[in-house]
Amino acid sequence: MVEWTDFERATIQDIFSKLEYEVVGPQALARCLVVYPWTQRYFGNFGNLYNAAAITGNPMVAKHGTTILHGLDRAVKNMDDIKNTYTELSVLHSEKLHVDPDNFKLLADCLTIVVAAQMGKAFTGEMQAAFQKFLAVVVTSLGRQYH
Amino acid sequence: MLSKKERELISEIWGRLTPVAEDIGAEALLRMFASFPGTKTYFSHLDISFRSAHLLSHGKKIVLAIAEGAKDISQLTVTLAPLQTLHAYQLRIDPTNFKLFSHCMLVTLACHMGEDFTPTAHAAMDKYLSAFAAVLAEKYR
Repeated sequence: MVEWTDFERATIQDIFSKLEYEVVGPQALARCLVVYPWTQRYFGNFGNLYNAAAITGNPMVAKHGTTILHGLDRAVKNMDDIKNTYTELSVLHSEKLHVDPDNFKLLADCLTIVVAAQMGKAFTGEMQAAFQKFLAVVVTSLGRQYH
Repeated sequence: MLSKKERELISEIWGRLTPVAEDIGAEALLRMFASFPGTKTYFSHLDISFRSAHLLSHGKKIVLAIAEGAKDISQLTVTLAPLQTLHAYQLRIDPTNFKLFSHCMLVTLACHMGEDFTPTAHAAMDKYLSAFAAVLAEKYR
């Protein structure tokens, strides 16, 4: 079981309560596809991913980014059992989508940077640590059902 | 591979940050110590508390080296030669830590630049810092 301090719990709830999912989700996914272009391999049917502008303006990327962020919501509301919260999604990503689990970390890093850009100075080192710990637990849980 | 545009972008960003080198450097280090406590083991001989003299001077050194390298990325191996020797034979910092520091530097840049830290700038910066770290570790073995 993951141990969360009061500060960590409060920080995660606070950050997510202030996020516009329809903005941050698309930005995080788009950033991942731009910064780590090999991740585009999973989105062959998304149309034009030819350059940064195309990726950022792509409606399928935006829609999927929002979906992903809403998926994170499950962990935010279930911090004491993130492992089991993502059993099905882990199986899905492994068996059906065949996504290399290393990619989860790449997206998590991009999300951290999007949140940092949005919050600016308010995103302190301690908040960053809490946010990264949360995402690390999510990433591990998503990789758990791979075999 | 860094394109000409990317090199110019990187050079421009670091040129702008040189006047606040110690703030940027100290912040990146602090973020790294908070998120990755194992990295503190390399600093047991220094005072690395919030904006301590050691932290500021150390942060400044690192950022100035990164900025210097950014002026002519094609010459990175030449520019970093003395630092290569220092890290290989004296400091012997495990190169995994370079990745951790680079990540925290990117977060620091995002906090300071906000929207200006576009996906394109982020990609270029990540590539540059990776190249910088690779050159730094070249003499390790």
